[in-house]
Amino acid sequence: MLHQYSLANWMDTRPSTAVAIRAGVTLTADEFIVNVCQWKHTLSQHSGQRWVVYHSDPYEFLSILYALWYLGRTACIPGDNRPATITRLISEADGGVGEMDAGITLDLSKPNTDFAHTYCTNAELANLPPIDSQRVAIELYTSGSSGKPKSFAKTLAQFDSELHSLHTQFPVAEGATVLSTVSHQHLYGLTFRLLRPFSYGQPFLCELCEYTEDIYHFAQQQSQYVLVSSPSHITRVNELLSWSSLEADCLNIFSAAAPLNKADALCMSKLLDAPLWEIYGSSETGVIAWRKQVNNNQDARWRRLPNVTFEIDNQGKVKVCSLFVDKHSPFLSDTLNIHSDGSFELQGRSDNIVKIEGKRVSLNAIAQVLMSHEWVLEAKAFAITRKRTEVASVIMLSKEGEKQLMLAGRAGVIKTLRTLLLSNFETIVVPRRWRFVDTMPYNQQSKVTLTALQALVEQPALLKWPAIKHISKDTLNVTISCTIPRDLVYLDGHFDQAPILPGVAQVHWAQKYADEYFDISGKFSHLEVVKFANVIQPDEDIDLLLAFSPEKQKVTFSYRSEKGVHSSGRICFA
Amino acid sequence: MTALQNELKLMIIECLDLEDIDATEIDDADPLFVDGLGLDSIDALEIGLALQKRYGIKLDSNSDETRAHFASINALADLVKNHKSI
Repeated sequence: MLHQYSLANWMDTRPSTAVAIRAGVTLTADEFIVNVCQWKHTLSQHSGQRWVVYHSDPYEFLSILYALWYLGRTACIPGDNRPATITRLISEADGGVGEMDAGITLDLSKPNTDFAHTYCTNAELANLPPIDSQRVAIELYTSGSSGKPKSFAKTLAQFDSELHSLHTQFPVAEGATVLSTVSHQHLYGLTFRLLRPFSYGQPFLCELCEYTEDIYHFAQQQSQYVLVSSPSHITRVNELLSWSSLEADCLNIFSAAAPLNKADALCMSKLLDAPLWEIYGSSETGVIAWRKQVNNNQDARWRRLPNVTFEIDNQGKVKVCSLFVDKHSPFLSDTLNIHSDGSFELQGRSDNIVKIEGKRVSLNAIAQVLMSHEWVLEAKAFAITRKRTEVASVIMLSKEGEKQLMLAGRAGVIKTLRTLLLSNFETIVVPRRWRFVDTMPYNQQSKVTLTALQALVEQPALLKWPAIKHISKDTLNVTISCTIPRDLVYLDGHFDQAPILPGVAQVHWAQKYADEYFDISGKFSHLEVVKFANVIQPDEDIDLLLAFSPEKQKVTFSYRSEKGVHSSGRICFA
Repeated sequence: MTALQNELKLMIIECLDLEDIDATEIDDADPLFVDGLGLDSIDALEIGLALQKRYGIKLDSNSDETRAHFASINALADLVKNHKSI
């Protein structure tokens, strides 16, 4: 069993201990301290207490953290590097470090050795100030239920006691390398992928395993490894790879962020021939409990980690008590069913936060960003489980939004709204299903229920406009080349066996597009010489031709295809 | 568009449960992730699984190579073709 070094006094560690492995090269504690000094030197040229840190390389990331801590500063860690996230955080902090626009980076033109010689004299190394482990070392940001991100502060002393509690339950093994599919920018990854191995002298692999094939690939280069993963990867593991022929020994598999299906947990454990420990915790509370599924007919219950206790308040809310819980928000958002022996089952969340592929997202925040757009009057975001659990959105468009829907179609409107969301949220949590409605599905109690919203998404989107492929126009003529979609609202219930586009819809479209494209001063007055010669059916490619006569204030329309003229007429304005 | 390209498009739409997209709207050379179809990292895992199930392809290479295979429909088609010819 390995000895735990406190994160503040990690220098007690052996100088040749491996800290990380990057591109096949082992980086030792000696090299790490030079790297930390280099970051410290760079950062000391800027003043400010709180710094936003984002770096995709965990070794550099950890170096930045230590550089800040030696300077007595705090690292603010965003969960993603979306431009809006970073901009907002930086505006609340003193600046940014790492991979971000205008973030402070190292001058890599100077080789490490020169630098070490110039700035990192032995004297400086010896003179590194002690780190106060009671100071706030990091602030983490995560989704809050109001839609505004919540921040949590943690001290190194809290991390130390959390790691100690974990080590009591799951002793850190010597000689194994930590491989991971999760980012260190989140608390689970930060704790399990970086701080836990670091404080026990166990190296972590810098490369992230994005695909399960990467785990296989990198494991081939190790003799022993520990896998830090989550249900996203474990449920999608490539079973065709000959995992059993791997010479590397997998010691432990950790999974957190969301509960695993029992079958998936057992499958992964068997495939890698290693115990799979599921970890339950949250940003607010740190780690709380663990479970390991066994092959019987029940789900394993969660068991608290050493030094974690619960108090139940009079409303049944669970308060977590441990040395590493955030004192300001010790209450769980999950509802638990606690048994007499202290083990428990999870029974869902009690707030408007969902987890999509283990990523915590506030549905209110998504709805709020959507409603900030001028095309949107009202927006609802909610989770729906189809092949995977995903976010969907039901939207009431503004007048301007409706106009865009007519001109640019669903695809155009969705693209704009998606782009807006993508500057604020990771792709995984951006809605994949959209419904535009005239009114929200209120029930008799004037409530919009989740079931009603989900029902809208389970039906195909009903469309009001043709799918436009091309528009050519001049001041007096417009040709709209389009396809008639199957899911058109006007086809609903109209001759189910052989649906056709009703004449009234054809006239309506002609008038709406004429209004949009011509400088018409009058209002609709009447129709002239309207003829419906041939029916228009779904999936047909149609050209809608509009010609405007300003003197007469009339618009001539015709719907044509390769079959000839389907319909024609004149719309008179006065 | 070849039959294989079309088959891959239909496979992607089906296995990712995509809405608002038709096989004819996916350009063979367009990026599948970020800009083009806008797929995410979970979709990448799902495509990997679908390739494994349908064509018996194992992606035991590193992420960079896998990312190159997943760049577009054309790149995926090459991957499948090379696999078939082995």
